[in-house]
Amino acid sequence: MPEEPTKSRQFETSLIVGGIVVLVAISGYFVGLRQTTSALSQTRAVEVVSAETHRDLTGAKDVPVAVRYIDQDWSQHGTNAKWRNSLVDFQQPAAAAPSPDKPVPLEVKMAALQARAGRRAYDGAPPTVPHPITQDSSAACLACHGQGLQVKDRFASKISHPTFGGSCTQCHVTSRGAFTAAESALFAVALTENSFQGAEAPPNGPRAWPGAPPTIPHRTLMRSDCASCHGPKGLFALRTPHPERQSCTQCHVPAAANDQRLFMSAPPLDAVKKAAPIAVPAPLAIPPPNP
Amino acid sequence: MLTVGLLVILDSPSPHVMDRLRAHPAMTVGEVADRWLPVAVEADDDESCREYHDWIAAQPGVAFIDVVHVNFEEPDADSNPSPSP
Amino acid sequence: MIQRREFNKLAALAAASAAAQARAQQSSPAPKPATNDGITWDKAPCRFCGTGCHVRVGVKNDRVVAIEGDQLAEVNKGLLCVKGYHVGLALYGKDRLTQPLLRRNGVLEPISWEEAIETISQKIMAAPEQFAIYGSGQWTIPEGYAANKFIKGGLGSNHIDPNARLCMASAVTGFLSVYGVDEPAGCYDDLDKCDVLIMWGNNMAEMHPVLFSRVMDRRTRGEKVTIIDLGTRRTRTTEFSDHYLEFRPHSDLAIMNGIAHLLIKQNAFDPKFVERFCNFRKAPKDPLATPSAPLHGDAMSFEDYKAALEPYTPELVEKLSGVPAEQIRMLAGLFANKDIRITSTWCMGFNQHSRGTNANRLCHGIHLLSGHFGRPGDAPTSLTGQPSACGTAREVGTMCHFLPGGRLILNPEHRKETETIWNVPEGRINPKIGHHTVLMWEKFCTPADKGGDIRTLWVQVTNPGQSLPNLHKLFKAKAGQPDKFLIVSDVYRTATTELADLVLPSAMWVEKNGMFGNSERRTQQWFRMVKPPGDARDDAWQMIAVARRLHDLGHAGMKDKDGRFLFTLKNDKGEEVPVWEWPRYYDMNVDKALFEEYRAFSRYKHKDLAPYDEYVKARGLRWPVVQQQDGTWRETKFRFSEFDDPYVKKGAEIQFYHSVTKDDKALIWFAPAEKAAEEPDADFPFWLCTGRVLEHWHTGSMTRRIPQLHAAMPHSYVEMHPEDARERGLANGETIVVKTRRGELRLPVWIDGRGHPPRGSLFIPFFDERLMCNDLTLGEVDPISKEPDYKKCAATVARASSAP
Repeated sequence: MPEEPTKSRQFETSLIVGGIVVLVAISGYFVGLRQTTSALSQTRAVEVVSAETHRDLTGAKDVPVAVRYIDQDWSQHGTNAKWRNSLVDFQQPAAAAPSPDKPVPLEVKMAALQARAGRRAYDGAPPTVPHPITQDSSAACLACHGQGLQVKDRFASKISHPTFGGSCTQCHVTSRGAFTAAESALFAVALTENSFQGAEAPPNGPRAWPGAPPTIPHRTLMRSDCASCHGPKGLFALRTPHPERQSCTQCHVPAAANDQRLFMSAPPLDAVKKAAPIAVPAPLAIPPPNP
Repeated sequence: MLTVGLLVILDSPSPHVMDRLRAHPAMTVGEVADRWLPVAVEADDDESCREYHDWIAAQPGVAFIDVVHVNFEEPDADSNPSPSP
Repeated sequence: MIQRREFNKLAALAAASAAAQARAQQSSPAPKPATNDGITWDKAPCRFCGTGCHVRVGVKNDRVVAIEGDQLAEVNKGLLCVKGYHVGLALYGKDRLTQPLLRRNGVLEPISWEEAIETISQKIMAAPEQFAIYGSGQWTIPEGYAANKFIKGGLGSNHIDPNARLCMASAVTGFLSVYGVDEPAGCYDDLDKCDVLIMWGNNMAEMHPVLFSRVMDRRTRGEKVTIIDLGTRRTRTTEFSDHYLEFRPHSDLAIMNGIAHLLIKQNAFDPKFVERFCNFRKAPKDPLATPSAPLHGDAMSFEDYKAALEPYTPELVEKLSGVPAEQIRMLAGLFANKDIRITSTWCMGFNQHSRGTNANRLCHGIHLLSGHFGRPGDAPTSLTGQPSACGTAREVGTMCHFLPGGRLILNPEHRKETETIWNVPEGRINPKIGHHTVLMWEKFCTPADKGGDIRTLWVQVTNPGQSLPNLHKLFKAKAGQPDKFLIVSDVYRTATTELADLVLPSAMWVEKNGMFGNSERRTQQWFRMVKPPGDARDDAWQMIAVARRLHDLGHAGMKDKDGRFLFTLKNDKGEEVPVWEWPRYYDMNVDKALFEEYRAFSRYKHKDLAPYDEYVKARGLRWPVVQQQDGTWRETKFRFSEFDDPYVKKGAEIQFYHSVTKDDKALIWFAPAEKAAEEPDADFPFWLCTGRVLEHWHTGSMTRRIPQLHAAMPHSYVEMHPEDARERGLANGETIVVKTRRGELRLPVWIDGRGHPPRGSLFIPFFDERLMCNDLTLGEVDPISKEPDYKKCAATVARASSAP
């Protein structure tokens, strides 16, 4: 039976080849990860000072003891380097998402609206970004905010106006500044107080009768994707109890007070544009002086 | 015979208009809640029912009428042909 | 059956009662009433840049509480940028100026308005010819018109110039010398139609974000637009671009000559278009040799033009500009293709340039030479940085050499026409050109015995103490000269009020009626919506009140030919209103009265304006606005093109009806590539460029008081290439000293931050009043437009020995 050894040799060979493939794949994966990190990282440190706090050299000889994954600061590279978050610090959400049999108490909803208002000059203003951003490009924003993201109690809200998808930083600026606190302390002039008081978000949309679908209490310009706040990645207190229903405006319509089409009863520009064909221009002359 | 439950919406809770409704023989007036006044109306037929409706609507201080209940039962039709003594 | 009947009745009553209870409960007040109740909304153009977005302003209890992009506005279609969304907050900085302040013993002390008006009037009466007004592209149209009439038609002096001299003057001389009339032929609609967008030194993503998104959103919708960024540093705009061509500062002239060279060499220009619609011109050696030389130039044949371009081979251009010859060929290839539509935009890159007029001319030139002109999407378009640089500075002519409506001080006919409309005696208007901005400030800062012939200077709606170049020479030198009197009308304390002798608190934006004119010839109107704080008052009122006081003091110029006050204004019923009395100022619409008077000037250059009430109805209208046979008013999108411009003759196709050469042809100019006024050398090895950032507008006096904008960009910085920093041992964030021959500045270095300058190049934004980069800039002006170059000078850097 000469085939047996061949078979086992073949098996061995395929094991080795398979092993190599898997190894290459794994190492390739990690190399790839590393490269992605460095290529994405727009901030090239000029003087790379090794962060002593993250290296434990007390082990034997010159061999550093490996840092435990949980201690690793994953965000010390790249643009969010200054935003030191540890995943283990994240809390499980205190509240559960609303469901048809468990509506959100009004005070919980008000608290959520308050938190939301903290990032806006007024209801309808573009929210500021509560974390540092890539200063020279908007490319990374949609990685989290394109579809929305939730990690425990942290939310990255879904973009509410997907047709404006390009230049995010045009409207959304970071509230954490572009510089370190030390730099800002040296150079920034203290902000002069501003007494602006913005319009607040209305709490509940009025209903036609008990049990009727509430009307939309807020304006909807730039907020056309309801799922941004009310969908499964929105703040708990603002979520819809029936996320399985997708066509929101089938039942919920804007309150009449927020009709954004009406305006001073002025005719739209079309009235001017749809004028009759061009008239023969009047002869060039200086009109008489005004009385 | 029609028995109708009406929700009369008043411009404001005014005793004057409530008194006028109470005085009407075909109407029974319930307890007013803010500016919403419940009224039961008995009418012989469709036509008189419409007349009552228009009459209420014409009262000063009445903003709108919602029909919330209608009963077409003829209480003395077949169950008891002759009135009891 | 009674019981049964009774039961039915009770059932009906119960049902009705239940419904009544439910309704009553539901209508009981919610724990917190919806606060959007009671907000009234009105339209206004944004206060900030020259894009001219319309916002809807939400007002409640006499305060602005919300802002929304106006969906009816064609400019922005409901979108704004971060500054626009927060524009309402600009009114509410806690340190708003609320009363007039006079400097006594070095301290600004409150005085009454009567005292303030009296003080100004006395200063002017003492020496009217030594009085000057420094105005603004942020003046509303009626404000600028009032100031212009006051000084030119009243005082008989032409010492008035706006800050627009610092940003738009080269675009003006460019348009005038190419088309014979100012302002772009195209409009923003080109951005919706172009196949290629070329941004010449124009960081549109940060400086005109809404226009930039207008193009980017086309991509989101699946359209194909090729975006080309020509710049001297990588910016946010670069990130969106298909091609980035990085050129050596000042070598834009060489690049454009290189494109023209290739178009001619490859016979790829448009001979039909050139023959029918163009003449050739070259700038004389001395651009100021004769009065007509700056804008008319020297005639040149096509053969001469060809010969002049001969040296500008792609290889030479590569050597001069650093842009690979291949990319020059790529650009020329685009212009050679008549099937695509090309829109060029530029702003301060071309304008703040010591050869700014030539840069503008060459850009128009390659569009004309290639026939990329006059179709939607095919246009060279300059953008403005101020909301009414076009409307007020350029159209009203608040410049030292202009009269309203594109007329010139030097032209006797124009003076006569202006005197007729103003109804002032012949000869009232001074035939001598006044001081342009840089000269005005130089004269103001020079002692009288050394030829400083400006003694009293009134600044309105601008902050020259931060925005002038070479501040030590042109502004700070005022300090310690007691005979020089500086008046500043503003809404906050600024670098300028630091040296002011009299500070007047002004109403701003929707605290007053107003009109602006944006970059695309669009005239916009808004009404006052809230009251100004304290005793702040309208800028136009301030000017009229001083004029009235001078009238009462007996200044002859404040009366017209018939002895009536220069600003005799009538309300809609034809009754005169003494608007110089503040309580009476809003008894009529002063804006409407001034605008209707100004409108008479607009026909001469075919910049026809519609009646005031038409602008009330519209979200702005683009001139010429011509009345139709049915009585409606029609705006014009594409000037000089038969299909849209009512002033083009039938069958002409394209007609430059204000042609310099009076033959309906535009001029294609040749101008040589030249060196910058100051280039890096061994002592000062870096190029220094200055500019803006997204979050802040101009000198930041408004945006730095808005918490959201301040938090995002709290202070200035200097950008530098990482290799340059490494060589000097500078770390990111470290404080360094940037030094030029004019001054030095300590500020943090930001490496690979918002922008990425190439090696040997620095960039500093100018919004920060504590870190003023104009202590460093050169102040060298374009000889024709008199606009300073803020984008190029030589600098050096060093590590700051100790923390500041």
